[in-house]
Amino acid sequence: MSITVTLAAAIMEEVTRSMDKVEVSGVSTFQDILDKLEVMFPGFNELMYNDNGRLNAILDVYINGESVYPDERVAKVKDGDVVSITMLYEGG
Amino acid sequence: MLSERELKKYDRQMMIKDFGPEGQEKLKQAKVLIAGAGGLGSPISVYLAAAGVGRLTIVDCDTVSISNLNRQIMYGEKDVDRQKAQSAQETIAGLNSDIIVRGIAEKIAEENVDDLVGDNDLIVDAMDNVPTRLLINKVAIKKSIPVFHGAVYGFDGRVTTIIPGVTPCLRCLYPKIPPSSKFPVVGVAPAIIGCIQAAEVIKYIVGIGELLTGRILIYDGLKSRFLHIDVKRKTGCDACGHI
Repeated sequence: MSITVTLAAAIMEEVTRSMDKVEVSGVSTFQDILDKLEVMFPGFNELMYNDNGRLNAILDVYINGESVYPDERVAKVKDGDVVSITMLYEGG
Repeated sequence: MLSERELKKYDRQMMIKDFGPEGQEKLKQAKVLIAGAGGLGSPISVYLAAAGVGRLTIVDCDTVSISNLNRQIMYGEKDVDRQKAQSAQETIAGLNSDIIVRGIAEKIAEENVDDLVGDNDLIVDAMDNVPTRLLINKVAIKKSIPVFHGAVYGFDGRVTTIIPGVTPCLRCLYPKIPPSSKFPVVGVAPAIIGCIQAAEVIKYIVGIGELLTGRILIYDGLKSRFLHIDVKRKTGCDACGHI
């Protein structure tokens, strides 16, 4: 079993080489997922968090469809969960 | 009751399974508020008018600028410096004289949002900023009417359909407000997203098909792909947590 991470944020495409889905295992929090993603995609965390450690203002994180902002780093995950990272568009 | 002319005009869409004259009559009776007459509001207004939605109210406080014309297809060069609401009303009225269209040149704010929503059956969110989107969300929850949400950036965009108390509300999906800034956009992005919003509205009114409820459809224009994210209401949401 593993956790599915959906990468649905255009600003990340260069770093993630346009992959829109990855599987990770052996993790228990979203921070663990971030650590894995940083290894897979160097520069990933720099896009996710600003210098003050705050989540990028135009990004949000969902676990099983529910936004976990502002506690996303410590949010628990388990095998079978679906984690999504997406952009908060404002334009019309 | 549909006139002979309307029966002819809408013949092709009434051929769609489970649509028929009954579905067309529902469209004719529908009252729709389009919040924003920009890149999204343009295709939404055009296609809802063409489909025969009986009463359209289009709200926008801005005037047309030359930099709007790459995407805001309700306007042309002759409309620069005119009120968008007025110009949109004229364009849409010229497309379909069997419907009633009204443009309102007001800024949507806490003080007037309730009156602007009025007795409309639903709201199409075509705004260009999150705070106003959240104001609309608040009134939609209060009146228990759906919101058809769309937003764009560059070649990309996202769409979802919100049913208060059933699906996540806009606040569930925008737990924080992204900084307002001049955003990049090419006209085809709001065209695609706005058309999907209009399709959702038509399906909802006619009562056919499946809606984008509980899921966000994300369009990645540069990669020519669509992604879905299933979404749930946010625990303790300060806008819809009480219902």
